[in-house]
Amino acid sequence: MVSKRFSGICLDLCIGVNPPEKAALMEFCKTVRYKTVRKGDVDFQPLLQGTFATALRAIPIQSLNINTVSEEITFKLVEADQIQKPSSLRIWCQLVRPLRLSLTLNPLISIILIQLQLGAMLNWFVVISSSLAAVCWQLSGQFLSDYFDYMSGADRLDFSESKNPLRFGWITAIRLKHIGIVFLVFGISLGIPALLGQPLKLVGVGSLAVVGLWLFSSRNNFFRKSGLSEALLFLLMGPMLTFGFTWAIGGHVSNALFWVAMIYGSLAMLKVFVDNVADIFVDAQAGVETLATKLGFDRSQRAIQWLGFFALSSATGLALSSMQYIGLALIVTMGGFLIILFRVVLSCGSFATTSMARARSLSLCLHFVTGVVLNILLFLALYTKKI
Amino acid sequence: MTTPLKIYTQGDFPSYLPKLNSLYDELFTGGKNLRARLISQVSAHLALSSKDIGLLGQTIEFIHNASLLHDDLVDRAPLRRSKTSAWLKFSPEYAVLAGDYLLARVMVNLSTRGNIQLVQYTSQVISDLLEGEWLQDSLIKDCNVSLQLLDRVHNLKTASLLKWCLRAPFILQDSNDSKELPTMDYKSLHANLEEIGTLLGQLFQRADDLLDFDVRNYENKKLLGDLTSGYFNSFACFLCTEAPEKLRQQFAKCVTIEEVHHLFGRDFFEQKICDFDAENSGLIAVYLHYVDNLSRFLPPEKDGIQAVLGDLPGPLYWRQSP
Repeated sequence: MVSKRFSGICLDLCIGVNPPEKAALMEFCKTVRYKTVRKGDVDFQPLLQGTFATALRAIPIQSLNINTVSEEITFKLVEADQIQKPSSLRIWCQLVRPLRLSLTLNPLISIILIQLQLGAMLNWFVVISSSLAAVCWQLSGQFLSDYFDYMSGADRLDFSESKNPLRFGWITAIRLKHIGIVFLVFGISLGIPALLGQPLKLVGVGSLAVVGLWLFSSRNNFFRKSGLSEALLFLLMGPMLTFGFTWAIGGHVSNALFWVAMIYGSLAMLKVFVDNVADIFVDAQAGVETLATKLGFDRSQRAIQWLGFFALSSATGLALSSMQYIGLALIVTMGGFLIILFRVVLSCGSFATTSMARARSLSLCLHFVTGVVLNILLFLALYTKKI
Repeated sequence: MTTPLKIYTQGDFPSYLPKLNSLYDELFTGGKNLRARLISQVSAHLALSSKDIGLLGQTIEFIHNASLLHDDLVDRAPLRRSKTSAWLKFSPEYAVLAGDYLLARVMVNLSTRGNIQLVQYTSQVISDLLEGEWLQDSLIKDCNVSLQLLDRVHNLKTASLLKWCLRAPFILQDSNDSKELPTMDYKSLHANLEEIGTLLGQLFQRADDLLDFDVRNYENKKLLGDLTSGYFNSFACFLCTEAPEKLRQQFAKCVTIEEVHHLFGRDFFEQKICDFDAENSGLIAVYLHYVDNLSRFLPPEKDGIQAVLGDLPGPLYWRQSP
């Protein structure tokens, strides 16, 4: 068995490695176990889901050959209690990605503030339950998306921190799936009060949202192949979220809401597009089609600028139509952030440079900060009656 | 791996092209022909004809040396194998054309052999090699490049040739023996060889990157060549993991190994070498697992290949003489 020879080869040839390190390497050689299985094998699913044994975890080995010739996965089998885990809080933070919750929370807060300004009679029970439902839907979507990406092998190409809990065996895949389903059930249950109030409108919006989410998530469909999935996200996180939530809480539609929908939709689209540009090489290798892979790196850099201008134009539209002079603060904030983002993106010689990683963080911060500034301005406007 | 290998003869290139044969004489002498030797050792267990083994060895060395000719010009490197680089000694134009000509000869020779799958795969490997070069060039003067990203670049550059060395003999053998293995096992065999080649390439590149920092530098290679060219190699990235931006910038300006030791502290630097070796020992363990896995696909009379592959981490990573 070559594996047994490994100890000898490794130790004999550890030239320059002093005796204590040799002993540590010897222990390492003895304890590591690997198992390679094909996707059709009977123990493939249990290994991947983490249900094959309670005392062991099977951690898929990163492969640089995903979706090329390989149809097999190699697992490293480790004792579950030997895995060095960070605190539960850190694990949850990496799974939940708190900053991403702003993609849902900021629009909801904006809508509530606008409705208060418009004098809408809000049922606060429905407002709170609908808000919690939206957050539960987002978390459910994140967890189930992570689960399905893990099961399909897509995350073995993804080195981002959010994939660490599954990648390092801190949580099993089956547990993550169950948590995702629990949040989905909560999301549905918490949405019932709103659904009872506006059944027709919300069933329509809800159905479109489900179809839209499926089209956005599934790998091989017309929208993805045409590079339209980012545009779909604009609709989902912009107009559908904005108007859907407004109807859910019994609010009124207004000009301001339209512009708010444009702002949040375009910023969400920008965020995902920047992510896809940073992942352009990995996606191209894995055969995943996105707008970025269709445009190519150079044109994608220009597309980021156009999306940014579109978002800024929407903010200008809101300021001119509804917010008067206090809207200037929103334009200045967004404009400043966009200038930084554009400079970082244009300084990237390729997707491989670390500037693209900075661009990822910046695009999420742009959404977060824009939302916070907008909500502060809306809150101030509520007291000064400027809308 | 000590039998001398003849990669080409005078008759392989036209004599009417001035300076071409002199350029190739300079280029091919002094090389270790590592890749050709690997092919020779693997092929010995596959019962390929000596003509086929010679063709494979010549192909990979032509591709490798073509990339060296272009690399040296792109990097403006003055020396190659302790001799003046071709672009300096002859001219940049001749260096480019000589590299292109080697790649063209590869295509001519393989298409004459007539195995379309091999031609296809070789074209893909050359494409990957060039992509890797292109990407690596985009990382010059980037102090924050991650090790994972660098592994992807090396997978295209270094590992693709080693993967070819492992897979090409099997592709030729498969065409000779009209498919010994069922289709699924054939795919799995090549997937396994891909993983082996990837890990071998990673280890080889990382060992080469360590030479830059005078670790196991038995050949007395010039130090900090990558760093002074503005390129953070794998060990440089590892050394700078979690290092602040200011330290990385200062590290990028170091020109001697003493400056590096002074900047990081000698103890920290030595510890990082041990940590890097430990991480790569993990890769070696995975590599040996995949080598072991080959027994699922190879008949007992061919298990000598596992012994050949199992011995490789010694010379390739730990730099022990074979």
